[in-house]
Amino acid sequence: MRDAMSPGFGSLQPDMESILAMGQCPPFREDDFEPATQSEKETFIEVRKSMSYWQDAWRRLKKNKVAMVALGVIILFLLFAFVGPLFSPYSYEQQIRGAENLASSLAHPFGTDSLGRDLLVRVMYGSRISLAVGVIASLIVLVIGSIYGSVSGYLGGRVDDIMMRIVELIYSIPDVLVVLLLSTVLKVPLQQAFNSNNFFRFLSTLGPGLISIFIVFGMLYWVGMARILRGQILQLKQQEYVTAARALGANSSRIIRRHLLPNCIGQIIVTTMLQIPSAIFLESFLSFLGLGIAAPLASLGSLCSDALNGIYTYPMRLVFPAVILSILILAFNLFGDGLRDALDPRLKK
Amino acid sequence: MENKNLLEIKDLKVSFFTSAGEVKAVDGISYSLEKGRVMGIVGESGSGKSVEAYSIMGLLQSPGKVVGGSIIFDGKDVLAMGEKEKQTMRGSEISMIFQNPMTCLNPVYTIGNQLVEAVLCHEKIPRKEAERRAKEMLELVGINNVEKRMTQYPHEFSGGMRQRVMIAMGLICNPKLLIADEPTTALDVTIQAQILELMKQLQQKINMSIIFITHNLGVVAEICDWVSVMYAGHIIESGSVNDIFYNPKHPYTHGLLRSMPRVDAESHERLIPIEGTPVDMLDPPEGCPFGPRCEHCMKICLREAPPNIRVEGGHTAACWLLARDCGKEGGRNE
Amino acid sequence: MVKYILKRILMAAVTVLLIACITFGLMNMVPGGPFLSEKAPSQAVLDALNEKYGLDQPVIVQLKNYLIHAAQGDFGVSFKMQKNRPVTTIISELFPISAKVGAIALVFAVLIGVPIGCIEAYFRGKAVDNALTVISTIGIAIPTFVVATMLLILFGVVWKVLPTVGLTTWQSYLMPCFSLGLYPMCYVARLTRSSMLDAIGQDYIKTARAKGLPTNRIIFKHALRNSLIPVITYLGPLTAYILTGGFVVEKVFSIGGLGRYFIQSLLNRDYPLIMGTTIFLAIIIVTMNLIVDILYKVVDPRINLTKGVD
Repeated sequence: MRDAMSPGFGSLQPDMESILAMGQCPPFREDDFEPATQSEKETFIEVRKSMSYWQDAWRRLKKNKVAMVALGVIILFLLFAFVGPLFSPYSYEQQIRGAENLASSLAHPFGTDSLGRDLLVRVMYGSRISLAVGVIASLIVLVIGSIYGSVSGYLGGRVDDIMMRIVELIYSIPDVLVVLLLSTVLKVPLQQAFNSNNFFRFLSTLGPGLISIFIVFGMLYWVGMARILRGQILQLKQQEYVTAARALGANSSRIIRRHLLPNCIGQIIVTTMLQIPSAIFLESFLSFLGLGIAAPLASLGSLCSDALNGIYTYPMRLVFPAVILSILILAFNLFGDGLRDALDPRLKK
Repeated sequence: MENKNLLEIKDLKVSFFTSAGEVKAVDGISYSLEKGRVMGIVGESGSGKSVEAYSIMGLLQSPGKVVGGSIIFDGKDVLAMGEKEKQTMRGSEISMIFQNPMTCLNPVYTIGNQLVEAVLCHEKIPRKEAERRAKEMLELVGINNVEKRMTQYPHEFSGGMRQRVMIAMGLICNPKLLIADEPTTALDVTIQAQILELMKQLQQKINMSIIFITHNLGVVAEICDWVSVMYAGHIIESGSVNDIFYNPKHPYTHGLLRSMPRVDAESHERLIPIEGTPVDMLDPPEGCPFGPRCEHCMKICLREAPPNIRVEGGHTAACWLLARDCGKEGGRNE
Repeated sequence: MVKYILKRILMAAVTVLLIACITFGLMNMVPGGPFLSEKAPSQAVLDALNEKYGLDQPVIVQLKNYLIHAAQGDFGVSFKMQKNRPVTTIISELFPISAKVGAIALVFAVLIGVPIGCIEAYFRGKAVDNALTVISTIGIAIPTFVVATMLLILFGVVWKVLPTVGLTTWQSYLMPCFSLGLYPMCYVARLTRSSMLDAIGQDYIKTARAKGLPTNRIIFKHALRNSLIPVITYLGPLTAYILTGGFVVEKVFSIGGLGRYFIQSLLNRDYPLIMGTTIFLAIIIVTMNLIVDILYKVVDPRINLTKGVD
């Protein structure tokens, strides 16, 4: 420290005249210079209400108009797909004689196809399949990915090394090619399995295309989730509060349950949510190529594929399922984004 | 007297307009800085010290905005400048170095490239010449093997070395004022001392002014001539290093000093933390912002913001305690 | 560096090998093995195949033989689609058609997507940014086949301004390339925008501003180079996307490229053709990933190729 200040520092002093405007102060009160009591000090500061993580996330989500509209659209679609068919006089496979190739009308708002099937109800069923595929596939990803990722991240070290090598390898396999191969190859053995075993029979209506999608999601798509979760766990593991919990003698399962999972749950939900549109995407892609859902069931992709044959004469037949599919994926994407912003404000750009 | 001042700030007010409302990050501060002097601005995080520095540089980013007051640098009104003028001023007349040298250099360009760029954007000289200047500057800040260092990338430098590079970059155009925003906070203590020593030497060599922003009073004692203590957007006490360290008048400054370990302390002496947390800047209360945390808090402190009161010489403090003491002696005003 | 590249090439080779094995294994799950379909090929073909691939031998030997032949560029002959023509010939005939469309789409996606992302980041929060962001968000949500069919309906059926079938004139490239490139373009734009914003928020941009650099120099020198890194990583998946997206586009616009042919071979169960094409496409994708990894080093000096990112 300097022991002596040079004189002549006056020029450095703050400009007092303009600041020191004591004359403007209101007159002092009698007790102004008495010490203030603790309670007086406390009332001075307004205490803001603290909110739980979920309340806070919900508040942020509600503020996000785009995400709320997307949520509304998703709910409308759920109603459309699962409640809608109840109000339709037709079933999705019913071929109405003499009503083939109709344009839009009051009886058939979306028209009918070349076999006389009502397209509105088929689109409803198609949305149902697409939604179901999206949800089931994401659940598969959720289960496998989160278990694999958290085990790998939690154990760390050599195990983690090997497990991540495997993930890397799977990552480099072109997934669409494998889906295509599987859906082709599985056709025969699956058919046999369906016929020999009653338990699998209900699966046969879905067709090998759909089942191979699930298998591929189970085999390949979980790696993204596993990577994210592993990263998250690795990061959390080094946080002080986990070290503190361990120092206090908490065992592994308690650390995972009380400290790691609650902090990952936001990430898990968001990743699962964003998996849904990508599964719908993949299913429609396969069905469009004719390798997905088996007739007479329909998905939005296969409806588009069917309509492609008559595109020059009946273009509207393609427009309905195509537009609905796009809106569905868009809504899920937007809602997923909104959810991410709400659950993990740190990620928000 | 006016002309001796390199920088004059009057009643500067900076607000951030967030979705939750206006945050008054800097709420009416004034000071002036003479040529060749080192001024320390001390305060805890969020007290507005960096925001104030960014406004001088014209680097405030939306949603931050200067809402009042004036900044006169070298006779020019910084707030009235256009973007072009500010660009010309930045780097050549006022330079700034930042807290975290690890992230302040662009990782994808070499050190040489980034130094030369700093020269070339202000002076029309051949590249060769700029390179020579860059090498000179690196040597000046104590980097060895300059030829090779110029071609290396930031990740090949240690933290202390990067801060030296940052200082070289800041000084390469011979600025009149260097603003150092916590330049030693992210460094190891031994490196801190080296960097401080370097800055002190360079300051004397080139006779520039420095505004040194820090939360570390020890660093202030090391390098500064004059100190301003900031709290919640206000300068609450300001004086020479001696005034602040040996005759603090504001309870907050007192608190800061007591919470700082001292070498000459008695062994049983304890560090005393300042209780409570800083005020919510979104909705600052009337009265003294430090009131609720202040052990001497009086009724008036919660009602009226205290004015700056002169202690002696240039030493001022914004605290009603001083007024009370004056009052006891029979007068409100000196 | 050389050591690293060799190591990466080795890893890529392992991946290709793995894919070849998976493909072969999958084909073997079909009753009767990979070279049989429900309708048995003629006895002559069968004999030739049996002799060539030793189908009577254990699977593992068959696999070994297949791999050895494949390594020499012999993927066998087609069964159904073009009877007895070598798979390699078919691929070399059809792939250039797909590659042309794919390459145009890829260049389009990157050359338009990156500037759009930059513009969005530059005008962050302004009307331009919002409008472009809405467009790119929608572009990501629409499946390629929807884009392709909608274009076909509008320009081919309703307005009749563009050819709808095949690749004969330059106009006929417009719709296929655009529909194939739209999704990656929007994705690249979003990626560039967010990584650009990320870069702009970094401390070194603060330094560049404090140095007094003009805004455009800050954006184009300091921010862009850093924000290109994630875009480069995306080039690998992008190639995979373009190749598989080509299946759909070639179907919609009746382009006789490899993609369309591959799907037909899948539907017709032309196993040797399926296997050959799969391995061929996998090699392209893996090679692209390899190139991306090396490109990375050029852009980002921090990446120590022997140890990964520091």
